[in-house]
Amino acid sequence: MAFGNLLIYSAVFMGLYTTIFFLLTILENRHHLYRPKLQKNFPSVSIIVPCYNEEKSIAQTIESLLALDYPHKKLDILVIDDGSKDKTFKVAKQFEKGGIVKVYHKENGGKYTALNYGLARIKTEFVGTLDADSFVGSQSLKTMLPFFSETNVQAVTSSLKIYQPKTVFQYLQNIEYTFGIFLRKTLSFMGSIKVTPGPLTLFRRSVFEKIGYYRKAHQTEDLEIGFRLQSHNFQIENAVDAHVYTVAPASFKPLYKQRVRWYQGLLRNGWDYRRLLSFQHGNLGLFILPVTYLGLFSLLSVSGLILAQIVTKVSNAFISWQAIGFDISQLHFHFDWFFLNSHLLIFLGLLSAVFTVIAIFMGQKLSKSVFSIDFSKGIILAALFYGPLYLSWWLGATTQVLLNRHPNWVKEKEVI
Amino acid sequence: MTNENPKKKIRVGKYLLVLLLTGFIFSLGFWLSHDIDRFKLSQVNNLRQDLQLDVLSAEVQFSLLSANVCEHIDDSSLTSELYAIGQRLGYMEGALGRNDPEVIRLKKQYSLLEIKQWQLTKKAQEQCQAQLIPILYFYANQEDCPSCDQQGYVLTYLRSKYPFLRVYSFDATLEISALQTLKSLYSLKQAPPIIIVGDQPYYGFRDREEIESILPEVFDTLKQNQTQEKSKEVSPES
Repeated sequence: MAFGNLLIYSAVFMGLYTTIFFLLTILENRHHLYRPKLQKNFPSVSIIVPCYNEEKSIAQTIESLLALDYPHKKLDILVIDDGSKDKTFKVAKQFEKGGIVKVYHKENGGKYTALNYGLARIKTEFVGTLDADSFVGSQSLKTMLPFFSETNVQAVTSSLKIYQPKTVFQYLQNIEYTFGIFLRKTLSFMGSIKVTPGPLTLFRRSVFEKIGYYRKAHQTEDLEIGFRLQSHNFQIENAVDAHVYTVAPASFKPLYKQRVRWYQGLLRNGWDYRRLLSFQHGNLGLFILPVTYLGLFSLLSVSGLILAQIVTKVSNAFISWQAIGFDISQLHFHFDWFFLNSHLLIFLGLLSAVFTVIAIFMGQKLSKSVFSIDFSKGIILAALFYGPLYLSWWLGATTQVLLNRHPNWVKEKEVI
Repeated sequence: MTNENPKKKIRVGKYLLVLLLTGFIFSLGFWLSHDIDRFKLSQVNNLRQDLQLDVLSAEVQFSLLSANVCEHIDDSSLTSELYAIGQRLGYMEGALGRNDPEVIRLKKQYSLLEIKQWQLTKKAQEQCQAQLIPILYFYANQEDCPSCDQQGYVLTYLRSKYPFLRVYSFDATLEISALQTLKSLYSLKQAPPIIIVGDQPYYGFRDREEIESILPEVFDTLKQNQTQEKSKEVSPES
């Protein structure tokens, strides 16, 4: 048990250290959170929209791109239908008339092949990727492009939000994504962003000539390309006021499949890019990546310990039940403050929870969102269920990696 | 790799500052929880002192042996005080560990008070015809006595079901001479769990039904003894 205690205390210490580090980072960069919007000299930009069976959302995705506050003569939209079985191609084709949207159809080969298909057909200075179930805010390009004034910046990410959350799982993800907004901005100040999300990331076109095109990358190409950019020491920035709204999985099963795919991708790509764990990669190599993997180890082992404690409690209750049987007259509760747990872990756990809530509210403020009833619902739901859910995703991902199973993006799409 | 990413650069000073801050918060938390635990222990100690006074007062009442002493002797408040201390001590044992010197010291004092109260109960039985059954229970920790937890549940249950039961629990491993004397009174040799009901020791785990089946027998013996005592008191006058 002494080892178990040491493990729990180390995990709590690491969690607390990381949270304080992040809060301090945001605090010291509070005057550099936003950049002035691009007002003139608009460069040419192409946006690639890879899609597979997205007939329900593709029209709205294209409409949001057409509504971008950006000169249309400088904008190209390439919709790549990756062999959809539904009417995605037909729906997208209706937008071709204006000349900005070009729709291509290819045989199904996976998301990365659709992205590469688009990359091979563009000539513009900048290229963006946008998932077909996501909608951009009108000011996105104007807020993202100024970051490219620094020559080493090769990619700029945006602020991801959940599109009109309606179900319990979407409320919960809304909170998670808001925390993600805080996290991504913080990581940008440490040069440590490791994912360039499918829902809107802008790249310099030339970077793909230097580092190569997208790869299958264990079905998480947006993570692999982030790792690859980092391995070349290229800078990835974050425009926190560039808003993108994405349709989130509405129930447990599709959410579970999505997360297992993401996290197994993190494990497998993490292994492929284990060379990033070095001095050369500074904050990323010596802090962010180790904390990510140690955090996973802590999550699994501490959960195991907690589970063991729950099993002991349940077996004690069983022993008690065996010994005395069930007698309703014995069920009387009374509150006595003396028995409140004053353990160090409770104190630190509460403190970490407070810091996390601060980070979530900072994420909300950074992305200039308005506090709503739905948001507070999400906070309560997240406090109650996020832990077990997060654990289930990681358990699923770790099992897949250990059993050498690979997720199927097409099947996942069918579930959604 | 010729590119430069200045933002990746490690600033040792910042890492150290955060380490210092985290260390400070950690120590603060440690100090705070330690302080609260000590405060709780001092509360247990206060309760123990109150009980000590009450027990002493009851003893003095007995020793004065005034005519209506039995009317004034009420052990229910003493019992509930004793149980409250027992519960709190058990909790503190879990929080601070069974080897904490302060916990051990309080446990020893608690055991002595239990013995004293057990004597009072016996006196109340003999002199005041009190319909009470004391149970002495000797336990040990989980490793040495796997069934002690279960025995504890049974006794707690019976105690709350039958208000006439008085359960006095002793950690058999406590090094305290009064406890050893008590054990030797009943010539206890085997390992816990041991319960003594009506001066009869029972070794090993005893379930609810078993103990419940012993109780009427103990009551009968108690009544017989009390009748004999009474007749002894009455006979000289007649």
